[in-house]
Amino acid sequence: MKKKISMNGLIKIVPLAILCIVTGMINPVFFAGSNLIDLARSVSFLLIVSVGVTYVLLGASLDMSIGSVMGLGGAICGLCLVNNLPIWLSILMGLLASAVVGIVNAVLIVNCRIPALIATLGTMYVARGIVNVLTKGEPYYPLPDEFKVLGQGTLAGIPYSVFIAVVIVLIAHFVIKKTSYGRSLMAVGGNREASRVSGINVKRTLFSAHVLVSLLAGFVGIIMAARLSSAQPNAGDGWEMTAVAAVIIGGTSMYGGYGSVLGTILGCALMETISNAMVLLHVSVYWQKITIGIIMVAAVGMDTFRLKKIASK
Amino acid sequence: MAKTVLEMQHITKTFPGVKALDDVSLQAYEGEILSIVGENGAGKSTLMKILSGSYPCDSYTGNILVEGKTMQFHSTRQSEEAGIAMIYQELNMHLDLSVAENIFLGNWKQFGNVIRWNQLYQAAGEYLELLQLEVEPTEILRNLNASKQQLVSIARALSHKPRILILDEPTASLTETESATLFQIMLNLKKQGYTCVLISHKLDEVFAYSDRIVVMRDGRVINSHNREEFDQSRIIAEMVGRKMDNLYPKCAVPVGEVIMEVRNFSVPHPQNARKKIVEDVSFSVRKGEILGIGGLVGAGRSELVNAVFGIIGRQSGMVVIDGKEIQIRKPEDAIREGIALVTEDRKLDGFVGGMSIEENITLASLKAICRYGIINHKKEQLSARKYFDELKIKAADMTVHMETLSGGNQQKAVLSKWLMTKPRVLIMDEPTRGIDVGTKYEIYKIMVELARQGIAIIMISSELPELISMSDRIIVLSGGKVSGELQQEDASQEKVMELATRMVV
Repeated sequence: MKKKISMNGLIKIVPLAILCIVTGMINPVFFAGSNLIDLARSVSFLLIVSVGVTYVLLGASLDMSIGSVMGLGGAICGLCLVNNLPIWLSILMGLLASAVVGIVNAVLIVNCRIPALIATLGTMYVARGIVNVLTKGEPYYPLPDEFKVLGQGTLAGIPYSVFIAVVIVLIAHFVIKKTSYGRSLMAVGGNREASRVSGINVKRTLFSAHVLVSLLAGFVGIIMAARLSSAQPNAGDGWEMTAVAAVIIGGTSMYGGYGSVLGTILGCALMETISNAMVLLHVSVYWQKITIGIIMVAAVGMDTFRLKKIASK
Repeated sequence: MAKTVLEMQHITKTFPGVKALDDVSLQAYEGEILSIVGENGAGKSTLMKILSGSYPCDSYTGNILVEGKTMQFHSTRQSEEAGIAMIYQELNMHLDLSVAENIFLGNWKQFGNVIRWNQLYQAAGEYLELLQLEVEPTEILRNLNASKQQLVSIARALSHKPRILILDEPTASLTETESATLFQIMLNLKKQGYTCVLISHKLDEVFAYSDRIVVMRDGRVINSHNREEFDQSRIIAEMVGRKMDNLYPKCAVPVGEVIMEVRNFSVPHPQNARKKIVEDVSFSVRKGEILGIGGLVGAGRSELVNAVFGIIGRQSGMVVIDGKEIQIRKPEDAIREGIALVTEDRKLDGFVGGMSIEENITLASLKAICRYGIINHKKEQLSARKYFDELKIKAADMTVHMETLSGGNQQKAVLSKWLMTKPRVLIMDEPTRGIDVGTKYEIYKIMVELARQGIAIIMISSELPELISMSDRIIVLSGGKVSGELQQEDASQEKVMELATRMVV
C-alpha cells in the first residue's frame, strides 16, 4: 500500500521534470540561479495559499475569494503602514481583515448553507470592492524598508518566503496526518453525514478550515506587498483559479476526503513552472489565462473520472 | 390461455457477497393482476429494479421479453418506452409542482416547446377522471393527502401508456377505504387489458384481488398459485419456509433495571411540517434486553431513533437515562451519554468510504485515542485491531478502504465503531439489511453477547422472523404511534403484522 502511493507520487514528478528539461534546453536561462530563485519564491507564495485551499477542499468545501483576500490583506497592511503604524500591528491588521472574510465565508456556507461556490464568489467581489474603495485604485507606497525585508530578504540566497512555506507545509501535513482535527476534516469531506452521526463537530471543523485559508491568503498578500514594495489593489487577482488547479493536480479531490498537503507541493511547482516557462519561451501573457483554464478543467475532469472509477468498483 | 405480455427468463443477479436473484423465471399475462409475495430480502424489489431498468442489462444475466421480443434495458427510460410503468413505494415526485405537471413530468414535450398549458391540464384531467380522483390538475401536490398523492403517481405511470403496471407496496401509506378505491381502479385497468404486477406485504389485499400469486424466497421463485388454488397457510409457509431456530442464535440473558426511557416523543414530518411522522411515542429499555421495534415502511421507526440520537430535530419529548433527564441536541451529546446508533443506510451516514477500516472504527472515539489533539497511532491501531479481530472483519488488513468491502463487512466495521464508544444503549436500525446469511448469523451472535454484557439493545427490523426471534419484547409502530407491545412468547408474524397495519387514532 505505502509503496504504491510513493510510486504514484514519483510518476507525477515526470511531467514536471520533462517540462523543466525542455524549457531549459530551449532557453538555458531557465536553469540560471536567479531564475530558479524567482521560481522558488513564486512557488512558495502559491504554496502557502494552496495549503489553505487543500484544507478547504479536503473538507468538501470551496473558496473562490482567496485572490481578493490576498489583495485585502496586503491593502489593509499597506494602509496601516503608510499611516505610520508599527509593522507588527500593520501585519496583524492585515491578517485580521483576512480572517473576517474567512469568518463571513464560514457563516454563509456552514450556518446559512449557501453553496460554497456562490457564497465565496460573492465575498470575492465584496473583498475586492473594499480594496478598490480603500485604495481608489492606487497602490499604497512607499512602505518602510524593515517591512520589505519580509518579501525581499534572503537567507543563504534563498528567499524567506521559501522557509516560511516549508514550515507551514510541515505543520499542515502533520495536522492532517496526526491530529484529531485533521482526521475530522478528512471524514467531514469524505462523508459529512456519517461524520456528524459519529459525533464530529462538522460546523466547527469546516469553520476553522475557512478561516485558515483566508488567514494564509491574507498573509501571502502581505508578503507580496513587501516583495513589490507596494500594496497593489489588484494583487492576487486570479489566484483562486491557480491555487485550486494546483491543489487538484496535487491529487486532492474536488469532492472532498481524498488528498494530501504534500501532493499540493507538486501541484504548485507544476503550475508555477508552467507560467515561468511560458515567460521564458516568450508566450503571450494572454495565453497564460487560457492555459490555466484548460489545466483547471482537465484536472477536475481527471478527478471526477477517478472517483467514478472508484464508485463503480 | 391469455397472451403472455411479459416474460423473465433465468434472471440471476449478484451483489458482492450476496446472490440477490438466483435463476428467476416468471411470466405475466394480459389482463391479470399478478402478486409477488415474499419476506423482505426475498428479491422482489431487485427483480422489479431489473424490470424497470434501474439495474442496467449488463449487471445481471438472463432475458426479459416484452410481448415476445427480447429487451435490453440500459435505463429506466427504455423500460418505460417498452411499456413498463413502475409505481414506487416512496413517493418519487415533486411536491411543489402541480398535479398536472407531475403527471407529465419528463414528458412535457408533447405539449410543445413552449408548453400549451391548457392542453396539459386537459390531458391531466383525463387521467384523473380515469382514476376517479377528484382534484384540480392545477393543485399543488403538497396540498394533497398521501393517498391522493399516490393516485397521482399512478396517473403519471399511466401517462406513459404502459402495458404493464408495477406497483410496489402501493397501499403502504393508505387507509383501508383508500386502498379499496385503489384496488377498484386496478380491477378497472385490468378489464381494459392492462397487466398489473403487485408487490405487497398485506396478504389480505393480495388474496382478495390477485389472479395469480408468485412466492419468492431467498432470491428464488418457490411456487406460483392460480386464484382457484389460493391457500393462505400454504403460501405463508412457502414464504417463511425455513427452520427459524437455526438462523437465530438468541438465548435469554437476565434482564436488569431500566437504563433508558424515551417519553412522549413527537417528530415533525420531513416533507410536511404540519404533519408528525412520530407522535407521542414512549418506551423504555432495560439492561441486557433486546427491544424490537416493528412496523411498516413509513411508520416512523427510523425517524424515532434518529430523533432520540439527535440526528434530526424533535418537536417534543425527553430522554431519560438512569432516571435523569438528559439533553440531546446532536449526535455528540448522545454518544457522550452512552448511546450508539447503527443507522439504516450505512452508505449514506454509516461510514466514510474513502477512509480505511481502522480510521472508520475509531471515528466516533477520536478523543479516546488522542492526547492534546494528537492521535496516538499505536493506541489507534491496538483498539481498532481488537474489534477487527473480535468481529472477524474479512479484509486483507485494516488499511483497506471501506468502500471496497462487502456489505456485511462494512456493517461489522460500523458496528465496531459504535462498540468502541463503549455504549450502554445500542440502537440498530435494520442491522442486517443487504447482508448475506452467514454474516447475519454472526451479527446476531454479537448482539446476544452484547446483551449478556448488560448492554441494552434496540433493534428496528422489517424482517419479521428476525424481529420475532431476536427480541425479548417488541413494540410496533403504525402511523407514527405505538399500536401495541408484544412479549417474545406471544409474538408471531401475524400478530406483528396485525398491529403494524392497525390504525391508531
